Amino acid sequence: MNDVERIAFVTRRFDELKGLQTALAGAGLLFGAVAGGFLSASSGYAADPFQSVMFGAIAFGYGHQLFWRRYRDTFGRIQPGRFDVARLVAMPTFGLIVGAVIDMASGGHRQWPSYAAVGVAVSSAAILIRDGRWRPHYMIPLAAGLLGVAVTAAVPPLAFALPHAPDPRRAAVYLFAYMMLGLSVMAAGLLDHLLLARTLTPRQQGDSRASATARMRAASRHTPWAALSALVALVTLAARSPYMTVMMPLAVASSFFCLTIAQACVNTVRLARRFPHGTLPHEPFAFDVHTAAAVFLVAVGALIDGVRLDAAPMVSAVAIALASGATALRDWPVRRHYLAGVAAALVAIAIMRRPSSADAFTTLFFAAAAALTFETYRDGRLARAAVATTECTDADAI
Amino acid sequence: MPTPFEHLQSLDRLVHEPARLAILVALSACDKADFLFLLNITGLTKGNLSSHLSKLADAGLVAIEKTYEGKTPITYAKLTLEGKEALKAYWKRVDKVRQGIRQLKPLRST
Repeated sequence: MNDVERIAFVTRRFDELKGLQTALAGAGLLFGAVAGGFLSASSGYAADPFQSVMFGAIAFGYGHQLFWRRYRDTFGRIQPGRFDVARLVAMPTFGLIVGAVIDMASGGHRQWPSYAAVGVAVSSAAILIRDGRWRPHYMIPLAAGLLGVAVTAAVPPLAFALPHAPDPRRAAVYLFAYMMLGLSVMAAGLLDHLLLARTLTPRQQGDSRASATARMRAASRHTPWAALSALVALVTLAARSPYMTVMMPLAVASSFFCLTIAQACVNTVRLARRFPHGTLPHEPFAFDVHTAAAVFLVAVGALIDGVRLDAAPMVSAVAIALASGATALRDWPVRRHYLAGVAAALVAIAIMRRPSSADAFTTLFFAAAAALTFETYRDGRLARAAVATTECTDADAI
Repeated sequence: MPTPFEHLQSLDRLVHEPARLAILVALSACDKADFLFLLNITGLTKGNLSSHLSKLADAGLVAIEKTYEGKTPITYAKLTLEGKEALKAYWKRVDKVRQGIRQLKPLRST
């Protein structure tokens, strides 16, 4: 009976359980908040918490482009039943998006709680009431939302704050609330995805080399994003301007937005060339519990560093080193180039002891993005070589 | 009053078979689903799923709809009104079996 209920539940909530887009939006919000906190800590400018909202929104849009087709091509498609208001409120990102937009519009200059936190708490409570048995992990965003409400409601605004500039006291608590919300939404999204993947995907019977190739193919898609992030961080480091340092998250978000548009244009041209019968090639998922754990480890590291902004982001650096090392060990020796991530993090730790927390954060961001560019580029080359070898073997068999 | 075993005997065998029950339950939770989704959610092989869907379609419980997206053929399955009624009747009978078993009292030893 349990299997039958699980089948009915997963089919009914199929669209909501496609959690990687939600997870990416949470990761974007978390990164934006941590970066905003670090980069403003030693610059003299007050952090604008709404940069992190923008970063989350860009990540959400990118996630749609990245995952929508892959979900459809991997797990199939259904036409869901009737869509009503209760279902809309219980969408994992609905409360966050609506609340964040109201937060941005209201500017955070009055002693109200963050609407994003209220929205996350309401959405999570709705999900728990409806699907608590299957999705108890929504306790995490519910707790984060309630904590965010309490924290942002407790700090009064400055009497002399300018209407269009961030209020430094309120901005700091908003950043903290967004970090919590980002991490919790990310965790809930990853667990939703794992629930879906475990129900729908039969256990892999193939050899580990074949699945490593699939993982390398999936990772190689991130090379342009990593390269762009490294470039923005390098320009910020070279410019040595406090204003540019504070604006780095916005610069990264804007460049990601441009890249998303460029990729959408390229895909449109590719589709137009195949018109009227063409579709883009099938790209299956290679996202498992190890990848989720590695990503989550880095996110937790970022949150711990984000809470104590006065020091260099050492915990994040250690988490990046551990995540890269774990990836290298899991697919050893095929993906031993992931040791570059360990080396980059260690070099960053050595350099980060000296400069200000803003420079330390930018240095770590550059080192991690540069290492990721190399790793994913190498992944792409190895995956292409592996596919070519398989084709040769198949041809020999004939 | 019929015994629980008589209710058990009256279960629709077309619906009662586990693979077909899984297909019907999945289809009852949405408007329609494609072949790939049903393949993933039931864990059946392509041949088995195709055979079970044919049986359900022959009995009029499921409607098969074939479309194309570009050059890719997509097969959708949808529960018919008859299929919905059959599934509802099946769950009613299963409930009766369960109720019947609950009402059974063990014989007192003398």
